[in-house]
Amino acid sequence: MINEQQLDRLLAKVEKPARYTGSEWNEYRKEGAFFHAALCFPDAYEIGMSHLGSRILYEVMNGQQDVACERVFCPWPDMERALRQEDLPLFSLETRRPLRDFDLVGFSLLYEMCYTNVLTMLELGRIPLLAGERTEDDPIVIGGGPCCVNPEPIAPFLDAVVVGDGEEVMVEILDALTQAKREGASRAERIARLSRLEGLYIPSEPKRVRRRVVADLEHAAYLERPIVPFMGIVHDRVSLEVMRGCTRGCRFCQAGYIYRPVRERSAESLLERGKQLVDCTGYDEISLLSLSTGDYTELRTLLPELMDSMAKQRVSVALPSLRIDAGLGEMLQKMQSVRKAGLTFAPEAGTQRLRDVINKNVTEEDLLRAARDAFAAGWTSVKLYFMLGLPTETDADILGIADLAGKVARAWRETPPARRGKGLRLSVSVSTFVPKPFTPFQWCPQDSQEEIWRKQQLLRSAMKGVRGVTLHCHPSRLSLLEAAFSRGDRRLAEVLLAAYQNGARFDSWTEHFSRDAWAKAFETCGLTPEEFALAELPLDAPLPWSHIDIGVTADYLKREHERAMAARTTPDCRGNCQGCYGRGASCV
Amino acid sequence: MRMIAALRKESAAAFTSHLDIQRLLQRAFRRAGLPLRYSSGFNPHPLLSFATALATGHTSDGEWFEAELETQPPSPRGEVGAADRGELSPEEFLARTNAQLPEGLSIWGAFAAPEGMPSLTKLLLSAKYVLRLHTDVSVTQAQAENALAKLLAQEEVLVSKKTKEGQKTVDIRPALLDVSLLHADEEGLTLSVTGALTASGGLRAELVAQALLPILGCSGWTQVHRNSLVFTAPGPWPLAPSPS
Repeated sequence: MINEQQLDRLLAKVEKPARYTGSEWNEYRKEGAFFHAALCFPDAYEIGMSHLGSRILYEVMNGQQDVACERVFCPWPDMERALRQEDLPLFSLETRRPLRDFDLVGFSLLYEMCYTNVLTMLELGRIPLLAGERTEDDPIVIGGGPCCVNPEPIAPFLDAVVVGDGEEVMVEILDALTQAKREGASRAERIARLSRLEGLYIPSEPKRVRRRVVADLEHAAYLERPIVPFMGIVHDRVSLEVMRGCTRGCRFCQAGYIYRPVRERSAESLLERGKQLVDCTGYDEISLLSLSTGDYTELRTLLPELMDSMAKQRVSVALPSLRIDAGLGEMLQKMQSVRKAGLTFAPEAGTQRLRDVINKNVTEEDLLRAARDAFAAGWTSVKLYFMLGLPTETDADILGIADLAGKVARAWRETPPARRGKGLRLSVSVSTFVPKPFTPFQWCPQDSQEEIWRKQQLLRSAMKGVRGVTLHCHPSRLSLLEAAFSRGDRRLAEVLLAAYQNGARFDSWTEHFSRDAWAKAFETCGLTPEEFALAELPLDAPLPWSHIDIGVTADYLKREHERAMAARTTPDCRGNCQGCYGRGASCV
Repeated sequence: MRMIAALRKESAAAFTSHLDIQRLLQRAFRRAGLPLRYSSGFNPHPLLSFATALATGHTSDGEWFEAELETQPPSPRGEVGAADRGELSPEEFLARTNAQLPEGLSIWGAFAAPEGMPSLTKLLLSAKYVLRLHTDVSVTQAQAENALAKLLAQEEVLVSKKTKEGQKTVDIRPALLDVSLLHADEEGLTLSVTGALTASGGLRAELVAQALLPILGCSGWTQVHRNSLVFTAPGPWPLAPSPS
């Protein structure tokens, strides 16, 4: 254990020391547990603590009698330096236990650009980076989360990979490993036992794996007693997961496919939980979380009742992911009473043709009506979100973005000044399309860097003619790496290791991203990010993630791919099954 | 009602910034069922303010704050039915709030502000600190006494201070009211420091250590503990309980 004096010395050297202190309200600290699990989030504290899934797992694991689960986040580069200077190992927040003294070390893998942080944490935790180099005394290292639908680029660093929902399988993993520890089972035996669990993939013995799905969300683990951090975090509020999965079928969206089927919680239990969570945290904001909260069946029951009961306690209700559709105006009216934070609309593409290709079933009229409703209800800050480089995109689609932004700005000017707020803040945010596994676009190439820059320039000059709009283009270099690691295979593990050794850290943070570290790493390994990201894959070629069975079939994705290329839309699958699980199979 | 109380800040909680502490207290009050009153106006904010801020990383025995609560003070006629009328005694305030504070934070010495009492910030005069200076070489008592005497003899004590605009040289001598040696051992020195502290500014205690190190001819790092805040008006200030 790291002692008080050592900790104080470290904390005196770093910014935001509250990232490392632990002992927040509602923290679990279980003394004398038999089995020790470290829940690792490979990013800064304020990001990791905002992730609902990790927080649910923290409670699920601590709910096991013999298990103590403690949190570990990636130390910021200043803390990494301090740990190396003081020659101290990475430690957990709860009891300052060094990472290598845990029985199980589990990483939440939410985005590919956190992979170098996994290596930082392992190395500072004094655990051999490669699974093959670990000995009997080393912890079992596992990974889980959405990245694990294609685990290959990070596979050699993990002893086992969890594919799918974690709440249920985590209990099985803990049972298996606790039992094995009691019996004094060898490392090989412990891993063998994990391989028998459904949803577990063992990189050293690749075989077909089925994604785990929590069938009954209503009775699945709720977050009961969330930790209330000392410091501000990104999502500093009560998060209520109203539903999992999405039925819309937007063709670029991986989450829309890998979290099927849609599963909802009842409004009744959400109301009760919401109240209980506000009482036990003291938060003054509650957020209804899902991929598309506007599609939640009981929203019209839940929202007024929740807002009503919360208003008495000055608690506001936020809906972070609403769709632009007919019901939105009504919803905005209801939200009149809450703080008017910015609204984000995501048309994703500039023309109807391209929106049909990506199956984003939103029309220009939908968007303009939503904007008018928002302006009339007093909103003044609106963000429009688009992607560049979508399959089949032409320059006309890019000019369409500027056109659409201009129409939204005009809708503002046409709103009677007496009804609208002061001063429009309209921003257009543009990111680069990343082809993702298990989407109908998984075979599609990403645009080259040069092409993306050209398109960004084209958009910039088109936007010059639009009054009162600010344009933000996300750096495309990161998107190239993201595409490579999304669609890559095991060869990329070597690149990852080299990039880490070249100093790559916190790659998703622009201030830390090191182009050189990555360029050199690819060069050393004789590979390029382009060969993974820019390749058009044949529809019948084996894919690096073919051995992962997420439920949705390759045939269905191919069908959707072909419809996309023909700019044909597919309806919402609620009550209108499209057969994505294959003939005779059902997602529920 | 306007409740005045002191917050003790120790161990991990010391690394919570001033703004985060304010937010943390708001949440603790909510959990305790003692919601804060909000200011009126376009952008209402909860009515909670500290006499002064404490730097992140410093510990303290008494950070005095005032909180406007939605509840009423107890009527002078007695306790019967007080709770039913939404009345709140300082004792109950302490008990309920302390039950909701994380490790390292506790409040003590609560009292209801008398009618017309000015804000704490206006009453603040000075603060007393204990500085622990961890030196890289051992310093004897005599060397330490000698260095302190030299420090106090200077008409100007110039140190470099990091501000938003970058490094700036400041003279800390005017705000340094007193400094004395409490203890010297192999690992460093313990100092008692008194510094001016008012709404318009004051001494940053860690700068005393920064000024002393060159005189001692060594380097090191400092831990700062604020013992107490000193206010002008004789008020109903309870004495700090001895540190645990």
